[in-house]
Amino acid sequence: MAAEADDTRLPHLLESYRGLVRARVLESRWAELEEKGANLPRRAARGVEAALAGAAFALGAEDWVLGEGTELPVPFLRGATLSEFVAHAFGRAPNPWNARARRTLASDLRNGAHVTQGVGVAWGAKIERRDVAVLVTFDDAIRTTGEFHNGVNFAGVFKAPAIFLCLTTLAQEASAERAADFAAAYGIASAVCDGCDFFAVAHAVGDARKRAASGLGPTLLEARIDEARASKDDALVSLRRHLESRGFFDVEHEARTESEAASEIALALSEFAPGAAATATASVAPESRIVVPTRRRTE
Amino acid sequence: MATQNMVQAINDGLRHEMQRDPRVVVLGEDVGKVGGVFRVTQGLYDEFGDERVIDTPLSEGGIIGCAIGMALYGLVPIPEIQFSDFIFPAYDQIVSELAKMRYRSGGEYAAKLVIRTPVGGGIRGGLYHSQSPESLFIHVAGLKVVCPSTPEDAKGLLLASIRDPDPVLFFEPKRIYRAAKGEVPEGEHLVELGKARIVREATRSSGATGSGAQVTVIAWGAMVYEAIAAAEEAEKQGVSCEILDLRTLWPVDIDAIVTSVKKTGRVVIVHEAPKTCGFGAELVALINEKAFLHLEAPPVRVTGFDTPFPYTLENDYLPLAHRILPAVLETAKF
Repeated sequence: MAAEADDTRLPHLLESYRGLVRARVLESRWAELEEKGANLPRRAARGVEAALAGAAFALGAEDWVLGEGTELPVPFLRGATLSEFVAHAFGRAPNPWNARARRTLASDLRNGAHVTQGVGVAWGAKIERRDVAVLVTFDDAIRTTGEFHNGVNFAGVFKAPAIFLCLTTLAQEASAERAADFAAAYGIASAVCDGCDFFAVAHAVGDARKRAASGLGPTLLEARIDEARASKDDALVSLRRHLESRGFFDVEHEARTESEAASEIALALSEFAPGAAATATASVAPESRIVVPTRRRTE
Repeated sequence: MATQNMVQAINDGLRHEMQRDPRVVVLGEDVGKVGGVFRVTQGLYDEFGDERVIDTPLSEGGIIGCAIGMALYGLVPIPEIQFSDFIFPAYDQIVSELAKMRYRSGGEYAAKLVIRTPVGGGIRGGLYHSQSPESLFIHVAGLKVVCPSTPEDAKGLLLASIRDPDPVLFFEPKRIYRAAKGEVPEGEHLVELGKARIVREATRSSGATGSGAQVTVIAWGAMVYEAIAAAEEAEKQGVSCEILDLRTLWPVDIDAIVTSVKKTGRVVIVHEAPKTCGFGAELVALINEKAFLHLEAPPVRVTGFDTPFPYTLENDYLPLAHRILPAVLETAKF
């Protein structure tokens, strides 16, 4: 069942909406520029954005996120700006994923090495008795790597407050077994949630977060993403409806958020890539195609 | 100062740092209750508890991956790899992740940790408990590589490694874990990384019967003692050796090497690892680049062979004094 946000968290939900808008604007703009021949960083947003944004929304400010570096919504939900992404894409700044102040770190190799590292971060927090959890995101293919099994094993043995979020795109599963089934082998908790539903993922990650805070250790979550549904169920629409139903959002708000994002990316492009700035304006309109996790595309 | 062997000195250094800095944690296979297979961490578990002296599952990749994560969080982990032969399952984490963390994150993250691991032959451990893989790590930008030869240096270099802002591979020559003994300063004792030690200076007045030639012998770890033994014999034959113990293999103290080579004009490099692409090859290249016109003879390498490390022929494989001496004498008379 999809969980709905506590009203006290509506401001955070609004920030999630703003983050998703920025991810959409960037993705849309990058697609335009790539059609014109630009070589830009890989990213995975549309299709997995509900799962990633829902997971990031459920975390506390002190929690960490280690990902594969392609998951666009996460840094935006943690305060990254479009300007940082544009600067990085055009070689003017480091990857905004890797920001200590935001407690986010990307694994550029996408081979699962970040899974054990995430456990180490969580383990360190536990040793220092800090109420910190670590979200480790990866796509389905990673569960076949030794790094995944090392990480889940160490987390289980030492009850590290880690939340493993496996994004399984149903049409491209690595095997028939569910990733969450591996949890039993390592004696840790697991859950499966609807990866197309922001609130379902937020709810599952929130539960895992509570478990971690209680000293019960890690959880292996599997967000199952149905490509056909992901193309129809727009996470932005879902968030907007929720906010509107609470009187926290209106058409004017929507227009302002999109306008801010469009201005921000236009300004950034004019600063870091003046040639690219002259091309068409970015859009947040849903597209028919799904962008699956980059590792899948590469394979 | 107390007289300690290398095991005791490293143990003393670990204890000192764990008492000084609560962020320091030790983790690895059997490092806790057992105190490590060589007992280097003995007693630390009782003193600091199981959250700071941690017995891990048997997975080098997991140990190093988790240690990197701990370092990212802000701890100062000191993972132990039980034998350097076992480090390869963690090679990707060390080379692709640890060594590049500061660079690829634009300085946002630095993984500050020290990987301790016994290295080299001398205990009849055969091919999987005797290797010397230092050059595989020296080749990787972003790593520092240390290999002490004395208890005093072991403690001092370990403390300096722990306080260094970047990752350090700390190779401990197991052949001399208990054989090397000496006075070790109590408490605070640091030896600067990147500085070689002149173990023995060459003199012009060597040997009543010899030519008076001088030879620089470069070694590290357990082979320093073999170099000393060869030098003592060479002295009797009229050849004076200047022995450099590199201590820190990378960044290497090239100034000390060049100074010595300019003085002697001859150089013999000794290491346990196979010859091909061993660190000796890089040292020869550096010497050629920086002191070529001062050489009186071609640089010579006395090393392990390009074979797996043998069980029964260990003393033939290792570049012991009986193999170093002829190389020194040949170089002297070139």
